[in-house]
Amino acid sequence: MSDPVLQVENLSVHLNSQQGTVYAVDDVSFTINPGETFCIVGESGSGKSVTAQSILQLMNNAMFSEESKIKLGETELLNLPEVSLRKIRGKKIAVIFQEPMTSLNPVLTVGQQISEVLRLHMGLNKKQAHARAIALLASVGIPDAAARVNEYPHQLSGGMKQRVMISMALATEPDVLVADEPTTALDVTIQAQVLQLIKSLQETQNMGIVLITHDLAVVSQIADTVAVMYAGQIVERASRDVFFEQPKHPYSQLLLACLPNLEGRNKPLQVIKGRLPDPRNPIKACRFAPRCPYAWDACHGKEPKLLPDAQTQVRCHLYTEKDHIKPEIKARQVASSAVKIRKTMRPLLQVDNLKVYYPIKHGFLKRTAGHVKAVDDVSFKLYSGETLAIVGESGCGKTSAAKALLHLIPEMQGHIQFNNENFSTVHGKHLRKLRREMQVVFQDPFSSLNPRMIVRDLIGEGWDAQGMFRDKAKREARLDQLLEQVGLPADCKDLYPHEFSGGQRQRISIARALALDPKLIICDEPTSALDVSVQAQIVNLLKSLQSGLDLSYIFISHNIAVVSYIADWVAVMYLGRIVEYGPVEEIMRAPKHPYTQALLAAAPSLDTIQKPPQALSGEMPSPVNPPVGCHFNPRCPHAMPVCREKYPAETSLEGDVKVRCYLYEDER
Amino acid sequence: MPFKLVFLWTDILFWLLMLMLVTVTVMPKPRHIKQAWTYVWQSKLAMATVVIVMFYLLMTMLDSIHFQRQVEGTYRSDVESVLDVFLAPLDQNVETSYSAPFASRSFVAEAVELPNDGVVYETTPLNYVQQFPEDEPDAKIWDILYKTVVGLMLGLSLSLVLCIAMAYFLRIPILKPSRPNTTQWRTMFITFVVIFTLFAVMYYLSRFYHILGTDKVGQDVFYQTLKSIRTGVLIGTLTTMVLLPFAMVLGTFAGYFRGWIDDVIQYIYTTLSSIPNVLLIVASVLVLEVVISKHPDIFNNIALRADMRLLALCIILGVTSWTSLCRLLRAETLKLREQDYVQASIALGTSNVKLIGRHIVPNLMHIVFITVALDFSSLVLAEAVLAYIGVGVDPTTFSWGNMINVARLELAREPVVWWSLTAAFVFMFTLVLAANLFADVVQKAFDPRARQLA
Repeated sequence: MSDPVLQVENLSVHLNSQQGTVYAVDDVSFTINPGETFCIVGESGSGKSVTAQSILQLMNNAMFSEESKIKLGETELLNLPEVSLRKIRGKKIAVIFQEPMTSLNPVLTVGQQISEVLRLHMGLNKKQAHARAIALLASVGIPDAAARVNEYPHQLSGGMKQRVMISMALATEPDVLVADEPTTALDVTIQAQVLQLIKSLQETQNMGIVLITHDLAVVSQIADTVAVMYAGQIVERASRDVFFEQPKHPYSQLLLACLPNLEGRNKPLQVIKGRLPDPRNPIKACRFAPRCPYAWDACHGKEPKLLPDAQTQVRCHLYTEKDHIKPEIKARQVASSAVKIRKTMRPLLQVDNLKVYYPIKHGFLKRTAGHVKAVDDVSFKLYSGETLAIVGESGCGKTSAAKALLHLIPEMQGHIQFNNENFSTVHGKHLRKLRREMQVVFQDPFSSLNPRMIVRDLIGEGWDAQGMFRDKAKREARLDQLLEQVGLPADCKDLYPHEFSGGQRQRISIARALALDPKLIICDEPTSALDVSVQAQIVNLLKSLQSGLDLSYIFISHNIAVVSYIADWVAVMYLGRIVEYGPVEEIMRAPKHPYTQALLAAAPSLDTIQKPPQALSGEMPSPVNPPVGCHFNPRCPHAMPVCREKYPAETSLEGDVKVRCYLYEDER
Repeated sequence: MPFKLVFLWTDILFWLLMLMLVTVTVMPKPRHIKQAWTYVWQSKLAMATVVIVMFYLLMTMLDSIHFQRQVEGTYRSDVESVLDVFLAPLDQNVETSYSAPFASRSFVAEAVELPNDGVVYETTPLNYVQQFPEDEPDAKIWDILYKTVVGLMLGLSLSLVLCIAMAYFLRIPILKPSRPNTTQWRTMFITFVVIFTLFAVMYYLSRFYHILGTDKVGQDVFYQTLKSIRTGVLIGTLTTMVLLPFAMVLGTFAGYFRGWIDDVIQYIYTTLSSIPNVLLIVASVLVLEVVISKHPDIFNNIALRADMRLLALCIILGVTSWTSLCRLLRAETLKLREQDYVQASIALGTSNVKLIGRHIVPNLMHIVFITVALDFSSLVLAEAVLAYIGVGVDPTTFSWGNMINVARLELAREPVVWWSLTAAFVFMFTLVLAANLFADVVQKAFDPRARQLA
């Protein structure tokens, strides 16, 4: 075995901020060999990004402890002056950041940006650098690289930009690549492409990769070694296979148990109670102890050391004191709602031919030159007490569809029958009155609550709007009840949103929606901005509210795992149209439409550790100019001549599945 | 009664504004606003500058109570303010022409007829200033020094007594330095003592000398500068009051409703801002002058006429300068209305007006506050520029602009007459600098992003 390319020893980092010293990273050690992929997993605030940035010393407010050592080959990085560091950054160690949109300079062409790196670090001249840039772009799978090299970042899609970032990082053939959440901002099919690319480039260049992520499924696809971080410490380190076969630390176990899946849909998800400890006052004991179901006296008393075991290093007292008997983690028992019986045959919501066409205006007089068909002819039904999930990648029109249902988009056309009323034509006062039946929970818990209002007013906003609960005492009583329902403490009524964590804010949003006793709540990616353990809490909350209050949900998501756990019906959207619609189990087990198949295959999942994700080639076309015929035909592996001519009609298949694909035309 | 109160329009508006300021200060505020203000008071800079701004406001208040004296049964036609009484007899033209600061003889040589029919050009002794014998050149310096010390003692002792009394009644510890992250009372008191003492010395000296000299018609410059404060402050405050409703209503409506409402409002403000401001102001001032001269029965008094012109200037400045704030507010509203909480509020069935009041306006207030604080100083400066080109306030109104405008003609003189210009500049500079520095702290406190960057 060759020498490790990167050695991190006893790394401890303090960050000085106005609010005091943040003990971000504490005693982290690891080594990376050439060709090895080392994944650091953790929730937000666990110190994983600080660890990554420390390797390049990119933070100007960071203080390193005296024992900290970061060695690149034989060079000790922490003592190096800034001038020498600059020669190492980008040359020996390259970085890819999460947000491809902001990592590229918008006023320079991608070619100029890649050439800059090449000329700086590789000493190439202008011509050579340009030629090399083209070759690099081609090597990261950008079609027509010679033309693309002269394009500006805004002309490229998110996936393309991330590819450019990768080509830039790899331009200097670095020994180590630090990738900080490289695929978090990308869609699943693009994520699969990028992960495959990183993996194949690693094989050819034999570099070490430090991959930072919060997504255990991604880890299971790509990692050689896994390190789980919690509150600034590595709590467990093992090779991938050992880790996923038998995680040792209680935190790792719970983290894996948090993930929703189809099989577990009748049981509540495992949750991790509490929240991360304050990084300004580190606990002088096991940092996970307050949230750990196994914790006993020893855990609250002294700090566990990272135990070097043969295969797994773990920081937990459970493995030092062998005699201690390990209690079982008991899943909370909740009345299962295994089989839902439809009470009425009349659907709560029936949507026919819903369309959202945004006009594209051109010229001085703003004549309409064309339309962006964000939602094109969408129809579905929803019965009360059920959940319909709308799945698709970004840009497929799922959010536009949801907002159209809520009358938030004036360009909406089509027929909506909701709660026995024609919801599509109401307006003015009547519409305002009807709105209480249909509520919404948004994705971003930070922008969905007015920062200048306290919880009491936030939740009570709907009552003011609808003229309900004018009586103060009754209002207060209902408020208490709502807070209890969504699991918030009763004494938080006078706090502002910024005093809550993301998960708690999402609970406030849910309480605000529930305050009007709606029949339908539209959840627009309610968990995608949250950590997995918090996601589990919110998903559980939504499920228990549904069974208790007979709510219906329209659940918009790109996360297949969450959808398979929470939904009863699934509609898969592609470029404004529903391509497949049916009961969740049918769709998850036997997807019919090639796009659904590709989507499910691309989504990394823990069940398919051995299989690399199936990447779908190409990207979603622009909805301004959708491909003629079936919109999916340019990316479809089964495309036939007929697919390029006419959009397929709906075919009803067994098991209530409806699909729009010529492959199933004959079975009608 | 020996006098009769005169209520000028600008007086009424200014006092209303002060009343509003007091009400807003006393009113209970939401917690995030309170926190922001606490942050402001924890800054030494804010505490010091606020004292300076308060000094200017106090001068304006004193100068905004007007009355006419009764002499032999009839009211005199000229209107005086409390400040005039306080500064008397400086409000009278006591000299004939220019005199340098602390001079005892006039600056310009005048023709003096000798008893033997000859004419000699020589400087004349000033009426207001005590004359010292010519053989004792040091006598005047000693006199000035002596009076400075007296003023210093008076000012120091009086201000300290006031400070101690206030600190005692409000139980504020001023002896030990304020800890960081608490209200910086000590800084405030020190600034107060310094300003008060400085003013006391100047005031005491002004009883005996023209401390800043006199102007062309023999008017005391110190008096002029103090009288100019009211004009500057009024233009700064009243104009913002005129501009705010325009900017806020039109800005939020354009951003919130979009569509044709947005088109119309945008059309109005692009048109308005494409006409040179000065041109609009000149035109309006001319129209106003015609109106005033056609109705001598309404504007029967010089003070009334001058006041009308000041008010008109405020309104014109306000009407022409709301566009930039309106633009800012429209853009911010466009951004805010796409926020999820606004969308959620629409989904809850909130009416448009309620929604603007609850979600849009509170989230715009930091921009409004910052712009108002910054606009105040630029408006004070705008007055000076307008007076310079001759379309500012009435020439009989004391203003820094007028002072500079008159003084510029004398800059070519040798030796140069520098004191009018300098006095106006120093007083205006102090006000604008204090207001700007205060605005900076306010901006940092109210704009969450600015606070993060600090």
